[in-house]
Amino acid sequence: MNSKTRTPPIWLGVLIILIFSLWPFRLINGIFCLGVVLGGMVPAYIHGKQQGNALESSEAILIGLKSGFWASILIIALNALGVYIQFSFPGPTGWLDPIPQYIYLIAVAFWDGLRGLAQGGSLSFKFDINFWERAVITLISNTAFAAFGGIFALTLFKQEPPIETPS
Amino acid sequence: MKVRLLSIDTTHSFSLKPWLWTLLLSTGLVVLIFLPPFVPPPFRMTAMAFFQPVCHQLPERSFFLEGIPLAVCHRCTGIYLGAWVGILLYPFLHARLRRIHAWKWLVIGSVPAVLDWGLTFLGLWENIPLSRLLTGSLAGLTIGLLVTRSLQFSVSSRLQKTTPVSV
Repeated sequence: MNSKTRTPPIWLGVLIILIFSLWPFRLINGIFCLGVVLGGMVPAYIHGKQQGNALESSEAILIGLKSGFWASILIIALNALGVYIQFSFPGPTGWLDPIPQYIYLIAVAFWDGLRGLAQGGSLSFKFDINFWERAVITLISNTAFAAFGGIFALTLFKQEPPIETPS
Repeated sequence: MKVRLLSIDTTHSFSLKPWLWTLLLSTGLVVLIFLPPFVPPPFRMTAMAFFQPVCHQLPERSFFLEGIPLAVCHRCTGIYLGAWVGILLYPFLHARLRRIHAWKWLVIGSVPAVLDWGLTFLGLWENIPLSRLLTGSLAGLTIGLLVTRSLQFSVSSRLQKTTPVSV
């Protein structure tokens, strides 16, 4: 394992997760709510390519874990500063829902979605948990799902060993 | 006596330990999904918040138990349940899964879910909870089998590199 070659892809993963959390890019989560998984998958894929498709499962998981972890740390820090950029930190209005539920509704039921928007309220569950509880959950869930992204990259992109028939 | 070192072909063998870990983790996720109706509100919120980055959790698109929604939507419930079943069935199917192509099977497994969503989006079909659950389950089943297979390959490849046998 070479941590130097691993670092740039990990920061790319962090960037992907951050972009998927940013307005207006985050709206895409309304129909493709896998930004966090993608943030673990892309760096693992890139690192695998750099290693000549010799990606190990432990390394793929580690890359995903690190991407999710550092993205969460940045997201928690930014939210602590009052910048609402993250899936798991509901913004001040329905427009800034964690996963933009209205966008999903507009995609599958256009008028219902628009009506929801016009009413102005958020469809999100009202979470009775404080900032730091949410921060801990965000850290765990983003890290876990990004790690899954790493495993998924292994599933899709690793060249499988040839079948050897006994002679 | 002449001693020669050979490597064993463990490339396609089944490793119990990584499979058990995968099954344990996926069981944990499924339990977390079904947890909200059975626990007090603070724990319910924790389970909901955990899945918030990867699911829209729209109440009208989620299963309810005793008036309380599960932690993810119909389709995601199907995906997680399907993946759990896929992981559970892997030991019985791994010999048949040796030669399959991950991308091809992922596409085959996901097409019904994409159609279910896409045709509804285009107004050509009105999906229902059962269709979302079943198409999600098929996608999840494929993902569960493929991910378990790649983890098994990864472990087996490592074993092959490190297991010399004296003859």
